[in-house]
Amino acid sequence: MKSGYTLAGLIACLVITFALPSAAQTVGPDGDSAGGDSKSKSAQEAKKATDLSLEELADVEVYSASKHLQRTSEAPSSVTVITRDEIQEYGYRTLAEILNSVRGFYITYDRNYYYLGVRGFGRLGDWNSRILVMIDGHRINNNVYDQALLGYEFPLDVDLIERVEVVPGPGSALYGSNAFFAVINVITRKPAQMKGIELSVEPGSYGTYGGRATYGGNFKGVEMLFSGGATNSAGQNLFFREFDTPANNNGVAVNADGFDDVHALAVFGYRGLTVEVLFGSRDKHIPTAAFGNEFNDPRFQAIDDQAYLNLTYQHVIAGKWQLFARTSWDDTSLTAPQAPPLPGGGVANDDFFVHGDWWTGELRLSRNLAEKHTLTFGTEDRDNVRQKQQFYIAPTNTTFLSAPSGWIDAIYAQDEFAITSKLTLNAGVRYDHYYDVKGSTNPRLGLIYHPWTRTSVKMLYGTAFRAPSPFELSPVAGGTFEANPNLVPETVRTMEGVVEQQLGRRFQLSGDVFQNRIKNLITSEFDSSAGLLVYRNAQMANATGVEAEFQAQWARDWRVVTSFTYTDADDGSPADLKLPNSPRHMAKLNLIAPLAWHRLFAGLDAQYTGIRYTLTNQPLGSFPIFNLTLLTHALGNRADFSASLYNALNRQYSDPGRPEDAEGSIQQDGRNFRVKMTVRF
Amino acid sequence: MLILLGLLTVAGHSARGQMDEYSIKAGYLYNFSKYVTWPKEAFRAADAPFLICIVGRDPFEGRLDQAIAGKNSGDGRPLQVRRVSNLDRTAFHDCQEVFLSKSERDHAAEIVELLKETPTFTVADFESFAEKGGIADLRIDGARVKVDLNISAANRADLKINARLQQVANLVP
Repeated sequence: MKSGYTLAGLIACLVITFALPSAAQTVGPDGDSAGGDSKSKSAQEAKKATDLSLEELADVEVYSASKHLQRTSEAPSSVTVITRDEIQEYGYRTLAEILNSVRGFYITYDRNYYYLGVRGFGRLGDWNSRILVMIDGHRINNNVYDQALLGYEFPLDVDLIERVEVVPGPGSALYGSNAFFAVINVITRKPAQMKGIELSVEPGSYGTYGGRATYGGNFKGVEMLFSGGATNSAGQNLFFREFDTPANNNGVAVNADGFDDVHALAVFGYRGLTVEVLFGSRDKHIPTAAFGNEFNDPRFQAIDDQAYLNLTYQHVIAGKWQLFARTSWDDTSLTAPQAPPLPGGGVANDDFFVHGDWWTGELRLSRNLAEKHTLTFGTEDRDNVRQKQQFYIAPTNTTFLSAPSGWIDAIYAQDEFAITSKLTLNAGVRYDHYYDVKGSTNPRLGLIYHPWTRTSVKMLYGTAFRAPSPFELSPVAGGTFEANPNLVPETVRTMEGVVEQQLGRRFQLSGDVFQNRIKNLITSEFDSSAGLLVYRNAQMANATGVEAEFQAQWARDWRVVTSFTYTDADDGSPADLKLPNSPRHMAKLNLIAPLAWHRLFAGLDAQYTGIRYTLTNQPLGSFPIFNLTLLTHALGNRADFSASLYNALNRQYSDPGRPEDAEGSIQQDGRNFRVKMTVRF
Repeated sequence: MLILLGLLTVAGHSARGQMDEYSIKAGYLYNFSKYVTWPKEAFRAADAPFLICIVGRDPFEGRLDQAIAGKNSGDGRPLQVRRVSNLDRTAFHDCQEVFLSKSERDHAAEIVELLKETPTFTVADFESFAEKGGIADLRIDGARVKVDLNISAANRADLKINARLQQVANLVP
């Protein structure tokens, strides 16, 4: 296959290019010579540790492929962690770009939202409701669509991320609904780590300009962090084949696809109490004329707002019980002015508005028992105060409205049982009770075995559920849908086996096999008797696959992670039909190479996506994408400069279109760049 | 742009990178001797050395000795490392800093109780040592080594912690 050779050849060229400057390493001031005497190396390193200031010591990363193994090897799954340094080194601009590098994950973009597919499952028309996304353990999925926002519309500035923890697999035993295929927890940087002022500017392609100011400090024992940032993008001219008629400007949307976004964060910490206020808003122009809107009309936008106030309190009671208590108020809204063409000519001024508010209370107690058991008990209660959808149709002056409210209550328990020093059992179960649909109980069992210190073997069995969203129960979409209060939750049953092996000090190899059986998939169907669409539990899906990942770290700064995923997914019917937007093959490659005396870093972030089918069963060709970033730290670590080239080889590729798109496939961006400068005082 | 990046790389002097976990912890033990003040009674004589004692199985593999070789504490005393057995409790009294290795987890409570009102900076790298009455613990947080500091334990031991160390550390409870 031509593209296969090209891919291999390009990777080889890049590896050679980055390997050449390694000669400079031996002359570096840290005295690091490849293959030098390990005892003298550790002596020099220990001496160097005493030359660092306290602040630098707190900032140095621990060199440890093995510690990573220890840290993540206790989790009953194959965890991926992306650190703040990696976000800088690979030039990730959004959470979507971060997640696109995770093995088994793939992002689909329709120029409205970014959607995450996991292990061969990326249904077109869904709203990221089969992944649970959290910020510091706080759920981000809204309460009308259960949608998680992943692009610039994600309410937290990517610069404020300390690390992203990705746990694939069923997480409902701890987190409830939507922890179906993966749980993603975004950990923010803490005020203690950000003393002083940090300023950042980032100009980029398509007339994009971003800026941020962050302040971290401590006043009378109260730690504080304030951050505000904004990005504005002018957009570009885009061509859509489906609209290539003289009446539609020959298919060209002019000055389209632009957006404005704003982020703000304030954090206060005092002893065990943390108060966090977060706000994000993105106003995006949608160029695809989705949902039957008028083509090349600047009025069709989506304005997504998300904000929350979060209070957490952590305390150790009587030296034994760890208490975690949380209460929060969330507010999300979507305002989408619509501009559908009128039959007699002209364009209507319809309005679509979604507004969700919810209050959450969570209590968790953990305790270590006899050094063998770590027990956790918890409850989580959510009051969905508002789950409003409203659609106003101007020509007939009608409004469609749905605004139910009610409680979701849950209790859960987990035990991590160290059966022997080599064998751990992780067992958990959670029961969720809903005011409007059937409740759900979900267990998860994981067995973690370390036959030798450098090997870990894990077996995982679990179920997860996804409750029907208020939108699916009662869709407000301009009078085209009817309600279905009889929907039940979707379920998935997962079995997974993982092997992780440390090879020497530098290399780690891991492999896993998985099987997902999904039932009661909520799908829109046409009800001919009513002449309307309706959501029903109408489908099934199965996905079986195997993954392999290789990690290497050497000479302290070189890092390579590469993974391959093969998934066989079908619709669970006797016909064994393939699923749309489900790539059978996927590969990821991430490489960091230190250049020029360990002060300049080159980061390569590459993904290969196999053939995918659109909704009309057209194949979209496979493609590799290469993103390249050069990063330097200067002025004693007080300034960072980076230059990134995305889709460096200007590969033309498309993502499948969704049911609301007139386009069968949507072409993605070609080569584009970003330059970023950050200074700290 | 590349030329600009090149010039800036030469201008900077600190290399980002990674270090062994125990090199970083050795760095912290050295810094504690600089950012904590011991009362005069903590030393036998005006020219007595500053002792960092390791109790239990030594995880540093020589890194601590190499780190402090030829260096002095905050008040100009030469730094020395000594290995002490948990069974020889009298030896603890000469130590200004006592580092408990993970092998001593089960004895931690007793040792903390023994030393709590003496001017000894107790530090360990197993979870919750600071919450259980030790003065500091060094814990891995994500990819970094962080310090949890128990100020009231330090006050009980008549040790003064410099504001800079308090800023960098995570105060417990």
